[in-house]
Amino acid sequence: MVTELPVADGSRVNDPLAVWEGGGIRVSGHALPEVLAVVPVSALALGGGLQPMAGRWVRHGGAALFTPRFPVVAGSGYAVVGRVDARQPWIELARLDRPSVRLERRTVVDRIDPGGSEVPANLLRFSVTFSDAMEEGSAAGHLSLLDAEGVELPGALLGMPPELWDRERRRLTVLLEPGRIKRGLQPNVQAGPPLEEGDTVTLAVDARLRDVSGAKLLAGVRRTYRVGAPVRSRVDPALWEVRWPASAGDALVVRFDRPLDRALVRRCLIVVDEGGHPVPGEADLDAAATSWTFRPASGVWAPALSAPALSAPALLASSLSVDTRLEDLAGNSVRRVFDRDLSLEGSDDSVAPGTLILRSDGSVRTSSPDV
Amino acid sequence: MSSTLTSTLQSAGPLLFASDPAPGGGAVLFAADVTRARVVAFELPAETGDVVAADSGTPDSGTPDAAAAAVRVDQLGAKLASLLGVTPDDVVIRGLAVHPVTHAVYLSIARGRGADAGPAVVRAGADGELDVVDVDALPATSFDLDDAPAPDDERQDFWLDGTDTGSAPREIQGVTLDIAQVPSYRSSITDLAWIEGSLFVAGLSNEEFSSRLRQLPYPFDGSATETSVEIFHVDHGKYETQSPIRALTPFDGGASILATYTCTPVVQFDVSQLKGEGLVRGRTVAELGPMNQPFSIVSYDRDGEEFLLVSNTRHPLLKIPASSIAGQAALDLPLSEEGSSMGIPRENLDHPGVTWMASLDRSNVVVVQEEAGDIHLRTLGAAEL
Repeated sequence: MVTELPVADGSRVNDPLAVWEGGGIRVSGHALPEVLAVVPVSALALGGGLQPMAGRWVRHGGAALFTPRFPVVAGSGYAVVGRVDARQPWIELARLDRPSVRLERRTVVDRIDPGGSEVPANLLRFSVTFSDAMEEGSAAGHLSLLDAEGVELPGALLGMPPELWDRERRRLTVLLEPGRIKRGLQPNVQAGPPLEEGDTVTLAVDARLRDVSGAKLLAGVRRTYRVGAPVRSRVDPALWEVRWPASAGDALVVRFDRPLDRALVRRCLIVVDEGGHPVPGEADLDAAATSWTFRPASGVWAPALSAPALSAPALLASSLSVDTRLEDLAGNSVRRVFDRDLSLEGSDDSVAPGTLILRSDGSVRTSSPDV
Repeated sequence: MSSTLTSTLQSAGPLLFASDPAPGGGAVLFAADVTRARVVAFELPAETGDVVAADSGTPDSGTPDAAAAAVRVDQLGAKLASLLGVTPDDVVIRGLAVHPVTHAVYLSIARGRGADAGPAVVRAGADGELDVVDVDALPATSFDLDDAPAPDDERQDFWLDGTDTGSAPREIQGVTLDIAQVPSYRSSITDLAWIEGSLFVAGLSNEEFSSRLRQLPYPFDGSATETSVEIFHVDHGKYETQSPIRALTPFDGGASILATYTCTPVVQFDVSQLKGEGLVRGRTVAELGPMNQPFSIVSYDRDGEEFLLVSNTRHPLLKIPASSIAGQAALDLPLSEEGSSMGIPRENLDHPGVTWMASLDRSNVVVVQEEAGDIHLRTLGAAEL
């Protein structure tokens, strides 16, 4: 319960008058007390130990403007209190409510990955990218995987929390239940794999997810996939088609042997120069996540080309660094298969963690993580 | 609406002062910006004498012998909420540190939720007054950890301290725990320690052996020594490299670190072994009991002897004599096995509800204590410990 402070003139009168002005509060009236403070109404219970809200007061004539150090909270009540000096008790002068804001729904889903029309039966994750930052904690229960009839596949998606947001809180990663994907684990044996080859499934994102302002999405979104054969082999960069740039300004184009995970492609593929330093430029992955194009920032490769005799070797020296953590849609990485068949002898073709360097002469070099 | 949120910090995390005063009586405050995996060092100017002298009568010289004024703030939760303009539910303490010269207490606060959520640093003076520290106006340098987990790293950490809004009560073996599952980057920095000119940063990394102790020389020069650490977890009955240190403190004059983990091993590390090479195994010297997360660990002196205090989510405030640590053989047996041990002796202290702690000086400990529906800032002297 809130302890009431003494109120000016014996009633909660509107004299002095307090009104919102921008993010602050303007107080006006006859003979405002020497000491003024604002507190959340809930903090009036502190009584004599009242703690003023942090902020700045500017007095001007018969009025005083309070600018809070932190933004006031929509939907909360605040009280203006005053006293003649530090030895006197606080007196409540006015109360005002910060209205709840009407939330504008404007955030949409920009992209759902995988971006192709088919996913492997052992698909590990979806990711949903929004047009604006989202509120962490609002996703649980608002994403679902539906079968061809539109009925939710129970237990297919891994329960949240935690919600796996990127640093900007614009991309949400949603995992399929890994225990049902890995063959032989109890959830897989009992409930079966979440996706069956030949099925049609739909990821549904409903509009009740909230963005960082608290508003719901402008609209819900669905994306439907055919379920193809499971993929159970390592991502092998030796199988990629690489088109190295033939002349200055040309792009480096890599065609993968299968769709890869978009977020990991961004992190794990780096074009490096002879000294191993990243080459500035812009990388682009097509919607199906099978073709990756890197365009160097203008002028980056040109200096080497300006001396004709050196041009070819300089270009050949450019390399593509591949972090072995790079994964495909089923969680198979360059390092290892996500769900290796332990009964097959010699099936472990895992490679050491680190970095693979693809060079334009077709060679592949490894470097350990400590180098 | 124009935002006055502090921009130097994006998130609230552990706080620590360099224990040596800066030239001219100033001090260096380290604040962990956990979601950005960054440590920011703020240079605080010397405080004026009247602030220092408010209770003690004389300006504090900062020498170990100077008696520090006990800091006390009753109804700290309600007052922090009022100061920050929110309800008490929207105030979460994430760090506590004591100024080495003035002994003012600094609190790291996660304030608000949604779009308006942000960090704040609040100072509690010896007079009990609370003020927001305008960190954006302070000279600052920062260090970005290059080994922190990426935000979409699918590994998780579990918090039992109730500081995450997503935590929910769950019953395990008849005990109800407040459990939050958080992505591992939220534990990129779990605690800080200062040892002879270096800042030690505990937390999770993006590596396979994810528990890390990093050593950053200060002033920051861009270099860091990052060592993966392994411990024997008595309650879990195995060696672990994934669970992060929750709290750590130097002891034994800075030669050793004592670190505590969830469920609740206490582990000694030789500072000289943390060289950034391979995986360093600490020596588990005590098991303080399962289903518990330590909040803080501090070292203090009583009657000329060094002791360590561990505050906990579920277990009482525990006191450990530092002298018992050196002779304790490494615990390496699960509790279920014959011959297993709980390690060095510990004593339960009757100070219920103590969560965050920081040393005021060698013989006084500032604590946040839950009591009668609110939290309070108290100073416990060695005589009571």
